[in-house]
Amino acid sequence: MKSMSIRKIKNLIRSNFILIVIFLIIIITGIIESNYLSFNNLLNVLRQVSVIGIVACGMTYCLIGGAYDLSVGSIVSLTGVITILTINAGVSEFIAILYGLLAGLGIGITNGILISSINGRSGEAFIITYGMQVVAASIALFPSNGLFIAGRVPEGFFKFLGQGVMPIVIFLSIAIILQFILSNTQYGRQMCFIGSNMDVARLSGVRVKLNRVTYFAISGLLSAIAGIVLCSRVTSSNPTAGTGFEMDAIAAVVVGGTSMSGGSGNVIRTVVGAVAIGIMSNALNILGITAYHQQILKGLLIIAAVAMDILNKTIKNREMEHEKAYTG
Amino acid sequence: MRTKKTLVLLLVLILTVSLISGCANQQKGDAPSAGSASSEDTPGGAKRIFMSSAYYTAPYGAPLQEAVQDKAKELGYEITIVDGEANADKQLSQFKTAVADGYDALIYWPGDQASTPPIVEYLNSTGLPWVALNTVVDDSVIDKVPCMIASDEVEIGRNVGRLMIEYFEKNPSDTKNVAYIEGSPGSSYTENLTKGMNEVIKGSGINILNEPQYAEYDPSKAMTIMEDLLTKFGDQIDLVVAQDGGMFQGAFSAIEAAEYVGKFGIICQGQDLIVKEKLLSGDLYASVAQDPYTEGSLSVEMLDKMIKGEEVEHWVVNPTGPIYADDVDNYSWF
Repeated sequence: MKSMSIRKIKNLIRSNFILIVIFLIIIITGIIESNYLSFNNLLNVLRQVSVIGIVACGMTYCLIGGAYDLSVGSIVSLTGVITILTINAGVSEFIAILYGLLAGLGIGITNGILISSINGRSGEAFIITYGMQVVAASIALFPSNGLFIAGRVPEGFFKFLGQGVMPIVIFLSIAIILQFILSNTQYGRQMCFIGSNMDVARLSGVRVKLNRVTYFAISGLLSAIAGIVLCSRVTSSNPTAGTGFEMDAIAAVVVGGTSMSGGSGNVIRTVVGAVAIGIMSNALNILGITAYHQQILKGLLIIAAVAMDILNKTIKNREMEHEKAYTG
Repeated sequence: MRTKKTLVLLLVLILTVSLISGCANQQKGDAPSAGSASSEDTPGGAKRIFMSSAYYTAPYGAPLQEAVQDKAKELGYEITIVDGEANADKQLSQFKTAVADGYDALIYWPGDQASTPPIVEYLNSTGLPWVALNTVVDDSVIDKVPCMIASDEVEIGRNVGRLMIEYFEKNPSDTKNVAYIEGSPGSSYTENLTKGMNEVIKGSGINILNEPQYAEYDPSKAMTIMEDLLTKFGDQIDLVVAQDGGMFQGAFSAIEAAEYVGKFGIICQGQDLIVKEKLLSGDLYASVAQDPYTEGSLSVEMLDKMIKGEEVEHWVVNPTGPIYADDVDNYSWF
């Protein structure tokens, strides 16, 4: 009886490792720096993670569906350049936003079609989206001539998107909608099916190609939204602003507990992963830890999260085998 | 069949990338292709200059490279500029290919001071006229460089330091607390600016509040850092210093969002348009000049003199100094 409850506690700790880490960081930093626990700082953290969080939500769909999308960072950069340049040219901000969204959606659909047309697995998706990352990054540099572009943005809808709690509202709304689709629709169930075994899914009559195109389309569209929110926040665009976002997004997804081998995952847990990384970065900044040490700790958190995920799976499998042997 | 399809697709992708990269900027490329025309084969026999730019995509790089192209065109040279990606190995191999390809003169924009010796030695061994641009080379090879066109980075930092002291003289306060946002960790440019600034402010009572925070010349990273600095230090801040105009833009967005505009001074370095705008609006106390266009233009002028066998100065210093709202019209903005 006693060993059962110890096992339960251990399981609880293992499966909520990230939440426990976040809680400890908040408590310790809050004791050292009282400003850390202020409401404004909480909003700061959520605002800071909202851009990468939006990208990570799209990446979650791709990873559950069994593929990586490495083009997301370049889409963020390209969308920003397109939107700011269009606004600076005096075109309506709604049209500018539409151009940005269409660019992201177009790249996402292209990724999806290319990968689906060759029945590409995660390896092919990795290379193809990497190729698209280079293409999109080059296109972003072309109109901006490599320069960071200060936006001549009037007060209005575009500026509103990056102000106050709007980035947080956009991020959380997207996460809730995506999680609802994932857990409550046939489309969501098919995503897990495709991610865990594409061939069996195809034989079962699932429209694998079409579904996979949609994962990349969603990822591209969400990266475009993230790019627009980012530009709105700093009212400028930098053609290399999204560099490295793909890895940060994958880190958020994995820290959140989505399986890197596909087939299972959760968008809300991705939100937790993104917030965990954000809370840690914010705490380290506030504690005055140098940038070099911050990177080490960030890396260690990601490694610990992956290790914990693997440990959980191994223990679960062992328990299932044990139960089978016991009942059989 | 499946492998064949994958290979075809990858080939198409590689070609597309090459094509778009090529179209995106005719001057950008990995390296000149071997066996292309030498100056004797080019129309009119124009001499050919090859430039490896370490920071092709940096905000400072675009006007600098534009100036190189404009001046080369004006003086009748053909110019090829490639992206060295701040990678010494890559830059060395680019130069080797360029030499094999028969270029007549070379421009070297190093990524970092410490990595310059092998490239300087190689460039000297080619016997071709060449100049170093923007980044001051390592002390061990500085005398071996035939001509260097660069700002004195430490002097830029000293100018920032002088402006900080001047700001506190004009705006006396009990504390002299500064929030300081730097460029890239490990970059000699970033370190030299900080070194120069520290030299000047030493003993002045100015206190840098934060541990080094690097925004890597990215406005959004600068914004995040500034938000955290405002959370930690808030009203304790008397002055914010950003190492370039892009980072100033990001930091200013955070300051604006937190409604701190006007509560402390801001100083930055650079000649970005946003800097001009905020100098004129009074939100920015001052900036420190470093004109990329002049620098790029000077590099081709010096190279032209060397090609013609004329004497050149060993170090042509790109002038630097403070810019205030009153004298924005005396400077170029990018």
